[in-house]
Amino acid sequence: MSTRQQVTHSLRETVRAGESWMLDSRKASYGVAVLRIGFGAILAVQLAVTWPDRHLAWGAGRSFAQGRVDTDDFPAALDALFSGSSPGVLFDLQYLLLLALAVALMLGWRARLVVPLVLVGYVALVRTNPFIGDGGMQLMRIVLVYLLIADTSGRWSIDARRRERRHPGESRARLGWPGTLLHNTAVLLIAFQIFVVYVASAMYKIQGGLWQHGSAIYYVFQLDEFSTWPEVTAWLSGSGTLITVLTYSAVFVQLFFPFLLLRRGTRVVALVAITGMHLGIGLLMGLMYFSLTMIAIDAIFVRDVTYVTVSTRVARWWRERRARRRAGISPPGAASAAEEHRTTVPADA
Amino acid sequence: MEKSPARPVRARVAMVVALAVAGFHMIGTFFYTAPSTPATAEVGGPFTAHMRPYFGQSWRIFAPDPQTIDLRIWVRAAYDSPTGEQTMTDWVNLSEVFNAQVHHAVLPARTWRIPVSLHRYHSGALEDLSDTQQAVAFADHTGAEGREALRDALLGAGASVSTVESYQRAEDALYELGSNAAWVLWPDVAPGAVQMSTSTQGVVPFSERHTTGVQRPAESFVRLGWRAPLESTAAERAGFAEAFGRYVP
Amino acid sequence: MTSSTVATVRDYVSERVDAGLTWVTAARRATYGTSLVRLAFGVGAVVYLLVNFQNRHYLWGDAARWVSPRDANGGFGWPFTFFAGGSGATELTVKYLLLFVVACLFTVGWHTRWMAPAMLLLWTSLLESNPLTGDQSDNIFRILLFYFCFADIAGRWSLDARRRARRLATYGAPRPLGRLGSPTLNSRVSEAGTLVHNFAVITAGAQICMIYVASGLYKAQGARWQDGTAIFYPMQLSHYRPWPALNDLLVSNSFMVAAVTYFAVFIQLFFPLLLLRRTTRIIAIVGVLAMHAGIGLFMGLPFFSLFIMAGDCIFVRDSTFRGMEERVRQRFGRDRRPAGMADGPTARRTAAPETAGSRG
Repeated sequence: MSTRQQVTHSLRETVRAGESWMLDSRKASYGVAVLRIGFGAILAVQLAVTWPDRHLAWGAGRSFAQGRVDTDDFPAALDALFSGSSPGVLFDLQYLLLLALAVALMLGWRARLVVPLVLVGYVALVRTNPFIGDGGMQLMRIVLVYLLIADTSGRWSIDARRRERRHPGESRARLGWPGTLLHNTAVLLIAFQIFVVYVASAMYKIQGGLWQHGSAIYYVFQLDEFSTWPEVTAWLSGSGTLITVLTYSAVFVQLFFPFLLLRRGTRVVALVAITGMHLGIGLLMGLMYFSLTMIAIDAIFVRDVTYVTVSTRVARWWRERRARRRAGISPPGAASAAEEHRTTVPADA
Repeated sequence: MEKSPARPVRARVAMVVALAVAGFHMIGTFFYTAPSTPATAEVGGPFTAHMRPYFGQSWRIFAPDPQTIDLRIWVRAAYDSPTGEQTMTDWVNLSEVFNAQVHHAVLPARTWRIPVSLHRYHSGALEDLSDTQQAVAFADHTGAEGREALRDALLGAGASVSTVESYQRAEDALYELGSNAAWVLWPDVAPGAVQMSTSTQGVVPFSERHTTGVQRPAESFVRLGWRAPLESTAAERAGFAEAFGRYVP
Repeated sequence: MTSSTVATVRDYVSERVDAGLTWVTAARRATYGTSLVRLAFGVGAVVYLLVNFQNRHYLWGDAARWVSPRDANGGFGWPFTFFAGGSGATELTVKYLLLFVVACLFTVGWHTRWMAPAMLLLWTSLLESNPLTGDQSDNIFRILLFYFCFADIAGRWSLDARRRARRLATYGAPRPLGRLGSPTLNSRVSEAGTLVHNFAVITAGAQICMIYVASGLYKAQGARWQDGTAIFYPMQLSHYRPWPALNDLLVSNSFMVAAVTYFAVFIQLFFPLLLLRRTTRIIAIVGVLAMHAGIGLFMGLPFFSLFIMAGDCIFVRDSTFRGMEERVRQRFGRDRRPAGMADGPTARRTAAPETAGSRG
């Protein structure tokens, strides 16, 4: 084969692989389901926890923020929702409706309808108080827009169950290839968006003297607003080496995140490290919603086969545990446990 | 040799369109989040026109350097005592009141960062004023006409209409929070005026954290003038008090 | 559930460890890349010595003693003192010619095991005796050549390779000790050589990755790199304008300037991780090669570019080089190699993805 033939051949192969990726199956179908469940849960928990504070956060009591709401870029039509001047009962009803929608999102009930409703409700709610906000809120808004075109309830949802019950054994992919194309485009957009978040925030950190010096995390821990667990952060701040390791790993894990995904071994390292980082930030700095939002989005980078393996295993473990409970027998010995893992084969690897 | 799966032409066309739209948006996201370059100025415009408000984003998170100072907001009120004397309350640190909510909380209510954000918003607007204009903001403008008096004084000090508008928007936010807080903090008095102050305080530098007896640097205050309490409806005041009242120790 | 998860993790780890051990022991890696480093370093050194022959007294001889006050031989002591402190006219010429001969022999791969350290000593001695003439390429050259003294950099395209092939044909097995030693000893020495070679390759690869990431990180801190105008500035400096018309053409379009500036930062910063997968590896290697070719051409730093470009080649797999060699041979006539030098039919296929990093 001549060089030119070889190049055209491999180009054609690449194009074909790309076409197949985009059109033949819905990518990250479990990951997107986890993302949907995560977003629903995060939003529901936030709304529930903030319920006692809801009027100060987004209701009549946030009148101090109205000047910024009046001058923001969002369409004026959104003013109708969560208006500061509407009666408290109406506000409460809207709030509870959004909470119910968040739960519906989590359960995957009528997701094609619920996702746009959640997006509108969420944007309308959080824009009413720009003084409450963090990167997680920006990101949830953006990713919800992408989810408009994704098949979020293809797995682990009431929708999927209902479809299975009505048409057992049939392909679950509704809307045919256009649905698949849109879903995969959404997956691409979400992945790109999270890459931008990680790489950009790392690139901006690189420019800072405290990040270079390796003491940035120490300063964050000293602030009133992030002193959620002052005892723990004071203890962590004692060791200069620990602070430097935390500071540098925060930068490098974010900076290299997209490319660490390229290979299985490094992907596992990247996902474990970044999840650990988010949990640390969430717990120690009181930024749990932000952290959970990031973790939910990172879920799309875990392959479907991994989700299937894990869920099969968990399901079997649960069944066996129940069976043992019922029969009242003691746990099986080491020998049968060793045998058990040999037979663990992913269902549709 | 090449057996492509039966794929309708319109699927291929749709894919190209979808990828083109996604690619366009990705380029826009890059231009929007990256520092401004000559390329942003020359070709970035069309790509980023659709970004706001739904795709608005900034990822300078704790960057280039994390904040190393605490940002606080203080309030006090002036009122006429039963004997008719002008009396002033002590200063109250609103940031402390809000921050207490997040201590040892894994899933805190969403309200706790309001004072810090408000501090940033106000100091940003204040920095846009010149020294003489800032002096106007530090002076008292009380009474029913106080807001207009402040505006005229700022305009008189050479501030542009848009600068004055954005400064007053920031100050109103600050004083409305302060006024609503004052009603809760001093329920027995009717404040005739409120005064706000913002403050910053650095932390112990990393290299000195093990030094015995080391103190944080002194807190530095930006004291604004007295203003009339901002008008708010009963519902607004009640909505604020409902949550804030629980915070106050 | 727990026990099977632990077992899966254990299996995975042991499988990875086995793959790693196989990688370092089963064969010499990057034999073409390291040979290319030898050729590039050798040719670069030969050309450098030829070009500077006229000026040798002024640069490194007694005529260069004026640098002595800030000299101290670049901080290098014995054994890098061959040229230290200047030399008389005849003495310098003799030493210079000695280095020239060593460089030539190194290039053609004649007893490279000895020529490589000799080259390292003499070359470093020469360059460090006048610290005013150096640039970053001296460090890259010296550090990589030090690692490659432990590697087999004469595996391809060299006199050593020719001799080895002849011995292989005679003895039917590798004979690193030639006629000496038993077959077992020879095979042990060969295996040890493979291990050391592969670790030298890993070390050199890590060094190159660190060079790229560090320079990417330092650039990212600079305002001119952030605002996308950085490459404009060096090209305004008279000593980085070898082709003024070309330089001006490149910087005339500010979109181009910004694109090249950002490209330079990102390709360096992400270089090591782009190597993880075949497609991105091709992008990374072609990217840095293009960048350094550009630096060499636009900024008049040919030796710097040549040396680091040669270093980049160790990341290209042998099968790729073999495929290229094959194709070149098909196009430009018949195979003129001695019979033993061919790799045998199994190794002769075109760039097969046998070790492609497409796992997972």
